[in-house]
Amino acid sequence: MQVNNPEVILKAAGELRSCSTRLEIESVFTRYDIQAVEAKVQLLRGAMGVEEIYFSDGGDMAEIDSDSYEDEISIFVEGSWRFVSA
Amino acid sequence: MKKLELNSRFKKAIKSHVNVTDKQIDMMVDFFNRAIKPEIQRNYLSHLKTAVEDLVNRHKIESIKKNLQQDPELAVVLNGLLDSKVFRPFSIILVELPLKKKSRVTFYKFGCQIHFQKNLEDKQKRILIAHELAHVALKYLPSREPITISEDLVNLFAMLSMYDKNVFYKNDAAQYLYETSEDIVSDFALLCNLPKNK
Repeated sequence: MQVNNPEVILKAAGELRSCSTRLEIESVFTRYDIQAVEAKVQLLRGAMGVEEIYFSDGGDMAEIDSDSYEDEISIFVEGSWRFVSA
Repeated sequence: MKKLELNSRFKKAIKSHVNVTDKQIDMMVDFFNRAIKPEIQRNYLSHLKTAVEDLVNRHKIESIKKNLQQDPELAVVLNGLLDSKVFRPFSIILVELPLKKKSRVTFYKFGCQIHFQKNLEDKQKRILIAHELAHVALKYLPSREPITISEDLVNLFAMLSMYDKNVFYKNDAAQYLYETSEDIVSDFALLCNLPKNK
């Protein structure tokens, strides 16, 4: 997938915003052939309109691993980010 | 959180001023335990959360107003809205989830979410929420002197907040406590003009 192509990123993020289940989210990733965990997390954060994240353990939002992906999916599906996102 | 339970003395005191049956009292206690108590439990540190939220909102509204000075027409419309106190450009949402990380605060355009692990003890959740609220407070609130926000400062703010809460529960809250359940009913009778039932 062309993760560096801004048009594709915008389109994928737009499709993600209409998702409400893990299955729907993962089918967007499959459709756009997004496999890297880091790209998936960045796209989910972008779709939610995340500006900044601080972790209680002092971790950096740039440090992304499979746990970050699981957390990002849970937060996305829970859905209350829609109340404060642009 | 402990369920609300009424003893017979309190029920008797209520019935001496309010026309209700035992069944109605039990029904209300059940409603309180099912609907209200879980909500109270979910609203961890709600005083601190509201205080930080209000301060950030006040600060954000002031900054929006400053920017509006460049557009007088829009200013007339929006100033009314901003002064209404109903308009809140910033909300803090607490969410508990089965997360891998203990807690985090995520900022968006119109507020932030504080996420924390569902399986922690209440006391631990409060510590983590205080930590995340400190991030919010220090990010938005103007300080008298310029500061570089570090995790140490965040933890310092959070510890002070928890210390303040502790002092409140230990000392200050005593003034709100009633010696007996009958005293609660008496105050209601006095302030809400409840007649004495025969």
